[in-house]
Amino acid sequence: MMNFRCIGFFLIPLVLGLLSMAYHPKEARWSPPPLAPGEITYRDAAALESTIWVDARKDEVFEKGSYPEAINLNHDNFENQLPELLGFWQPGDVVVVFCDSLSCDESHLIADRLRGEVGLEDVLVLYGGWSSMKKGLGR
Amino acid sequence: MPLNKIQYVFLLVCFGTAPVLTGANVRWENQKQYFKATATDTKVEATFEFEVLSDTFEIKTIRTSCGCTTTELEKKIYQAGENGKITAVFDLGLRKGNQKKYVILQTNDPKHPEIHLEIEVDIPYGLLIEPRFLYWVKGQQSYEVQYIDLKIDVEEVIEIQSVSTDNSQLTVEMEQITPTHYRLSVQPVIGEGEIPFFRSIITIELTPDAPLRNKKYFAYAFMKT
Repeated sequence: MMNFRCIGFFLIPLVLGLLSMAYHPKEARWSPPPLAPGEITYRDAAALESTIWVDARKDEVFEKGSYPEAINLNHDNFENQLPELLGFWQPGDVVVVFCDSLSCDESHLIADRLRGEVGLEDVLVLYGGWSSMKKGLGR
Repeated sequence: MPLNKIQYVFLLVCFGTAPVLTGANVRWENQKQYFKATATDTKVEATFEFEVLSDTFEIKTIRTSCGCTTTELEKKIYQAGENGKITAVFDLGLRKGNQKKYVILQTNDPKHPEIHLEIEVDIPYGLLIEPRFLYWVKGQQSYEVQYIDLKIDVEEVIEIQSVSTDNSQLTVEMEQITPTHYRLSVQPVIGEGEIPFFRSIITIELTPDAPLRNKKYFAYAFMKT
């Protein structure tokens, strides 16, 4: 009798816990969070027909290695680097801006400047940044 | 109903670990701070003050979301009753518009192992140029006029000294809409048989006494295929 009570003492919370894990309405799912407006995944961006990749990281980081054909455009050097991007850009091109990873916000800030100040319409931010691109490139 | 040994051990483990899991109780004065920079500001300094209400509070690591922000921390371990502060300096550089930077702390608090302190700054453009990029498609018989708005977003008096282009195939005329709003009318005029320009730079120059760090601003006109 005592043994059954002991087992029940541990077993009931365990079963309740497992049930909650399986059927809880706010169950955490192993899927990436939904994209914010203006964001795109690497897979979708790489499938676009004409994409201009903009690396929003600092010059010295960009020089160490970036995406093939990416153009560097960051806050520190925005004025000097902007004409290169505008020279490459052709009507219909989609500009995809990235920085290091999910935790950096430079890509969003540069994208905002390109949309507002510069007046480019199709500007997106790469979800996951350079980290997601490296995975896509198999590095 | 009396508890047996196993039940006692279970309860002891539960209640014994509770204080550890609760961690330090820290009260922050202001985890988010907002600043409105002036046109001549070069940096913004934010001080995040806190008080440890109970237990020991340890800041294991401190980092920022941007290389433009540096931090200063007096020490890493604080006892209950102690006050502390973190000073963060955001170097504005050439940044414009609304900017958010974060100081990220890793702590010994199991409830709040990562704490984000936010600095939000509105940096005036001084002279806001919209858009800074115009383009026309090559091969037209005539090219339509396009417009650029120049808006002054600071309280100080700003005067535009001149507007010019580096290419004779591009004409620019300026009109004043309000005391803080100007409009440029921009139009390519390509003579017969002439090869149109690829890129032209429009330079907007302020008077030397303008209370802004930048006295020259640029917009770009391109011919696209």
